[in-house]
Amino acid sequence: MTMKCTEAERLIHLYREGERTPVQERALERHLRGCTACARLAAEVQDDLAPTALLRREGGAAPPDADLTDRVMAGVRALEREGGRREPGPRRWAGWQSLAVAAAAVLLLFLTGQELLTYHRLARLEQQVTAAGMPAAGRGLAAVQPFEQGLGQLRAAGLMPGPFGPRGREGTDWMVVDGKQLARMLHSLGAEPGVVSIILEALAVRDSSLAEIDAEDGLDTREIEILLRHREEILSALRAL
Amino acid sequence: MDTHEIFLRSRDGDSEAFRALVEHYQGYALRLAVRLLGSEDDAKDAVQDAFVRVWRHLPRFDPRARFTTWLYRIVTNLCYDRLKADRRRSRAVEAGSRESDPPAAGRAGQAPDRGLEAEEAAQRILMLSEGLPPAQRLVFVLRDLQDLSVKETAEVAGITEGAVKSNLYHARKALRGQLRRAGVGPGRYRAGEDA
Repeated sequence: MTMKCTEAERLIHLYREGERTPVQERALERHLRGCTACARLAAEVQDDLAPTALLRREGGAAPPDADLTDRVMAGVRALEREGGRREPGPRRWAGWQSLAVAAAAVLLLFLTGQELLTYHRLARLEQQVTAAGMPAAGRGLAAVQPFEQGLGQLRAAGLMPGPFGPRGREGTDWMVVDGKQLARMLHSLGAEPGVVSIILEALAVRDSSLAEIDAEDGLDTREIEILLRHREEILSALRAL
Repeated sequence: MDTHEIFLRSRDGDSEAFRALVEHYQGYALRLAVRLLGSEDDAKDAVQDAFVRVWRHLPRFDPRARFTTWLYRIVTNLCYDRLKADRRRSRAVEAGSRESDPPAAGRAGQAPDRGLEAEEAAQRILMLSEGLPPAQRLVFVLRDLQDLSVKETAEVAGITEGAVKSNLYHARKALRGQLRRAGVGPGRYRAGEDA
């Protein structure tokens, strides 16, 4: 199939090694042979952004800073003085707990209005859910604010993979978790059934906003499907807690 | 004492070993934080906080995983939270002054920087990257400045490789657009390398 200029433009901006698949590479090459405008753009993009190579050459590390080391060690001593305990070493979470945290964080990231998913967009989703005849829960979106703290703790501990949303390690079926486990985890983080309900209903509607989330937020179709598969169980267990 | 031994002894609570660990890795953490936050003071605060958290959670860290990826992730998360907070504040300020204060890049009538050298252009890119949305900025810094692979960037940022590419596309497109509006056109410099 012939590549469109819009897709070519996207691939042209992904010009560094490992950013295009071999199939994309070949398709783009074919396109550029027949499209003067895109061929010119390809040359200009690389030329315009070439100076970033200089920044890479500066190296990955800043010069050592003894003052910073002293500050860190002072912070560690202060932590210990205040009775801040280190995490126990040998204890490891059971598999389902880790999976449940990851799954819970998917939902919580929806709820907490990350940069990529603003309250405005959540409110729009809520309207769309209502318009679609789905039983939207009436909770204000501000109700999700307290989750920020819990999320921050998960992130700081390195237990939640990152700021955008969790992702399982490649090949890990991290969503193999039953609805009751997920509900318990959500409950322990302060999630309320009404807000979770909005999100699950929105996922079920699968509107264009979700497609946007899908692309930017890393929540792929498979993950959505698994969440929806546990939808009723999650909600009923959450309500029962 | 090699880095593995430093790591193991730190994990067991040896504070002198932990000092050595901080000395060994702080440069990487600081470079990343400075590039994400644009301020050395803020970056040092973030790195200090990050290492204290490392100390606290180190006993539960799986030694089979890459320590630098974990450290980068903690630094990234702390910086990202700061970026989001800064952006909320700056939006509030912008809302009050939008009409009287157009963005620096692309002001009408601004003379193009015709003699811009590659080094200056690089600094311009660095400066412009501070105006990117936090998600794009994070991905741009990790991939294009810190030179992490797409896979590593995804691991540190906690997103899929597809989302890395999506943010990278938007970031590069936005930066290029701003460079152009600032009068930095093609063929003005040649930095070479992998472009």
